[in-house]
Amino acid sequence: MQTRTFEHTVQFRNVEIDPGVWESLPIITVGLVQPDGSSVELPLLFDTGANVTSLRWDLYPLLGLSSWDIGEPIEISTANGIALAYQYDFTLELFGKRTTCPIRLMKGLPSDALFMGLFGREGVFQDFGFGFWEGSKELYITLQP
Amino acid sequence: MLEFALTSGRPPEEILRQLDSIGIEWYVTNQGDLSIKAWQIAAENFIPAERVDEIRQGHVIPDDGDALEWVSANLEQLTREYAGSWIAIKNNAVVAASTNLQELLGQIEAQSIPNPFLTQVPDGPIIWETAFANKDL
Repeated sequence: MQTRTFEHTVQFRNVEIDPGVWESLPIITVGLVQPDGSSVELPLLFDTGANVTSLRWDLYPLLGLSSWDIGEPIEISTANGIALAYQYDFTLELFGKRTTCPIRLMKGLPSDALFMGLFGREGVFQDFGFGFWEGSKELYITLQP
Repeated sequence: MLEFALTSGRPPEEILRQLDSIGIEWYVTNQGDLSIKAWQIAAENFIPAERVDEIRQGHVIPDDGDALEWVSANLEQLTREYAGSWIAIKNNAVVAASTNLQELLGQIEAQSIPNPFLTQVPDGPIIWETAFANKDL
């Protein structure tokens, strides 16, 4: 038997993903370090299927950008076809641990008060350890993988 | 106090009512375990706000989750008051709001609000245009 230890537990959140349709989703609060060194906290959907952390396009002022589409253009395959995104490098903070990683701004992410984007793998997941327990709707996180 | 209550042989419902009465948040897992959230302020103004990031570096800090929980619990009221606006949350209260995100950031800076929780309150139905839609694909 393998054993893993996690310091943090995040309870899944009930989110209305379509009018009248609710689903429990692993949503975490992530700090985004702004160019001036201050940080803001954003709710992001923990997504093992997302290669890169992706934020709603209209969050570009948080990155100190004058427009959402001045970064490296990237085409992303989604369930509904190809979406255009722009990629930047920024620092995120999770449970006090900071990591610099690529962040994409993209259109098409839903406007939902409970999450502003997707928390993805590249540049992030190797610095943490994650575990799921679907039965109890819990996400486990360690800062010392 | 908690240890005494748990070993007193009293019914779980009574113990949970006592936790409620003294303001301790609790959660019973699917396995029947009792989890409690018992963080409390031990010393106010312990360090200057500008040193918080420095002190936190490399140190495990607990999940407060408060702002997200608060938004989730108060979403109906927030929608009535702030539909279409960006809002900043701190200490379970809306501390800044604007329909323009850049303007909201200006309000945050003017008030020197550290690490606010930001979100936008939708002004219409939530529409999923990309992946993760709960629909047949």
